[in-house]
Amino acid sequence: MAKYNEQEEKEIILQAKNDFKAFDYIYEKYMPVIFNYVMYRVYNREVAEDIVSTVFYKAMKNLALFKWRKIPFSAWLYRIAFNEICNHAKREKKLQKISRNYHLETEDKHHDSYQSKNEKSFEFVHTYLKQLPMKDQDLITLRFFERKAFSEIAELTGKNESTLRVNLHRALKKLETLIPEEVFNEALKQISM
Amino acid sequence: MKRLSKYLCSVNKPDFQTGPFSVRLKYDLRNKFFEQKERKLMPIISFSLAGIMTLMLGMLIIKPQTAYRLNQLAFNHKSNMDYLLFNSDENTDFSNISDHIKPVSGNLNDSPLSMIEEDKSYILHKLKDDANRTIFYISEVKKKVQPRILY
Repeated sequence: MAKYNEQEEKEIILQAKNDFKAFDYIYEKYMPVIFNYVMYRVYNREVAEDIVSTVFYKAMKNLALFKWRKIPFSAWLYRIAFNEICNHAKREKKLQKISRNYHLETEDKHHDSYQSKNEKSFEFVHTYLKQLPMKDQDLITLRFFERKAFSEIAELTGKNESTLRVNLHRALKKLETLIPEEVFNEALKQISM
Repeated sequence: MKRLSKYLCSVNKPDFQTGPFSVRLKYDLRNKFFEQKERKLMPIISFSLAGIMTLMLGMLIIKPQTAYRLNQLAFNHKSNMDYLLFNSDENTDFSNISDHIKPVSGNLNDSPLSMIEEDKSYILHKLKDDANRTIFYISEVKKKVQPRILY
């Protein structure tokens, strides 16, 4: 895929509404990123596919409304994805119910022989992570799974870095209280093996 | 909490492959946002062309001269012979050129035709265009010319 500088990319994004080539460039660049982000959040392929479809439909529909305000285009897509994840959770009424459903689904799907050690450790974290409020989930996902710097998360969320650091600290504290000590110790042993 | 932080950092994130979903979604988006536009554009172009054709056809039937002028403008056809054919205005008043006929009528005085009363006058035009093509056309003189005095 051809690489463009910021100005060129800005023009491509503006053209993407009418030009299929420009759209193709955007799609190939951002679709896997958004898909992975949504997967980290929901950890269910079918749900993630639904959400990503909606994200791109909405993005294409509202592309003309997108304005450059010193934030990257990806931030806009992340924002749509985050809202869609929240909408999905609302549709399912109770977050806890969804969590249980996810858990059951992930148990069904990820007990296959091809499930890697990576996925197992990720699944362990995700089991407890999904019990946190949506914004905390988002913050932990962006920081630890997407491996984004605080400056990048600040760009994506529109919050300043110091606020994000405090929020992350609180979110981790909440997560810590959710994981039983012995289960956590067991997980630590497994990861060190 | 530091332990948890370290643990989260050590968790190797799985890389989820988009697989056939990516192709499917791209195809759907293309259908929805690009081919739909093309599908809408085609009837608009067709109807516009049909409208123009109908208008031109109507003009050709109702006002052929205007259609001819349009054709002249469009194709920049310089030959004025055909144009004159179309523009032989029947209502042209030739009464003012009756004087020019006089020399002709003068010659007629000597012929046996002078004995016959003139019923109607006509002007015979001979035209030549740039390509040296000749055409004759006859115009009717509506106003009767002065009756010739027979000597």
